[in-house]
Amino acid sequence: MDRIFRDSLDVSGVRGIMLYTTDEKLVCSKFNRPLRSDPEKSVEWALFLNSLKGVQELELLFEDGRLYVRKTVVGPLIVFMDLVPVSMLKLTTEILANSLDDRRIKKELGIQT
Amino acid sequence: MNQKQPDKKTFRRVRRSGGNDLKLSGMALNILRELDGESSLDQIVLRSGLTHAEAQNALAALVKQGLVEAIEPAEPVVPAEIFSRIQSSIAKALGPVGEFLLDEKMEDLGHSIEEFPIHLLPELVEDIAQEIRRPEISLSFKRQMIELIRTLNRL
Repeated sequence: MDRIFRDSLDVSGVRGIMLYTTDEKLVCSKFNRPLRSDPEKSVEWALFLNSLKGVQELELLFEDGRLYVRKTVVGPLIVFMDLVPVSMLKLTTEILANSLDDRRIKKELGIQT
Repeated sequence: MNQKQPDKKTFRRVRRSGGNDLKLSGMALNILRELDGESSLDQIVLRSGLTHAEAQNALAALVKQGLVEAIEPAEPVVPAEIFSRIQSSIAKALGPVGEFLLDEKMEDLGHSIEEFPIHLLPELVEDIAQEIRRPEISLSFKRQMIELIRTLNRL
């Protein structure tokens, strides 16, 4: 399962990735290094993601990092990263988003089709 | 979440022509001794025994007095042979139509083949991929380019 996230996790400055379903359930989370607080618990993701209905792509810039959100067929993909250029990440997440359309990968991730 | 980026900027001494008196602190002298035009601020900090903030203040004072100048690191550029691989992938995806696309897109980004910065390569790939109408071919092109960029970053 890791292989589909590997290219994006290997992009310089990427700290971690979380994938949610369209009904805001966490499918998986992968982190290169631990964050200051547990990202799964420190944010009310369901509420946040619900407010993003219809959004294809979103970048939020903070003082010390960037949050990149991309819509996929499964649901929103959230990437935590340093303040580094986002173009390489956009390329790799496009490939990732496309892989999520594959039935075998959905099965591996435990997503019901 | 904060992680400090390494400071790659280097500094060199400057021959001073003016005859004004100089007032240098011990820290500034310490830093001045360590400058060789090649070491980064992080390396100088390590050797000088000063804190990062002390070294930065001392350097700022030296720059202000015209004794030291910063050397901006040269931006890494894409080796020419990489472009022939990109060109061949474009040709496979677009045929003869793609012959001038690479030059055109590089120009749009304000660069040429001789000095195209590595950090702009993903943007260039994205721009080119947008010209490929068939989604599966566009995606396959991006896959090849991601591999190429990763190889380049490992060099």
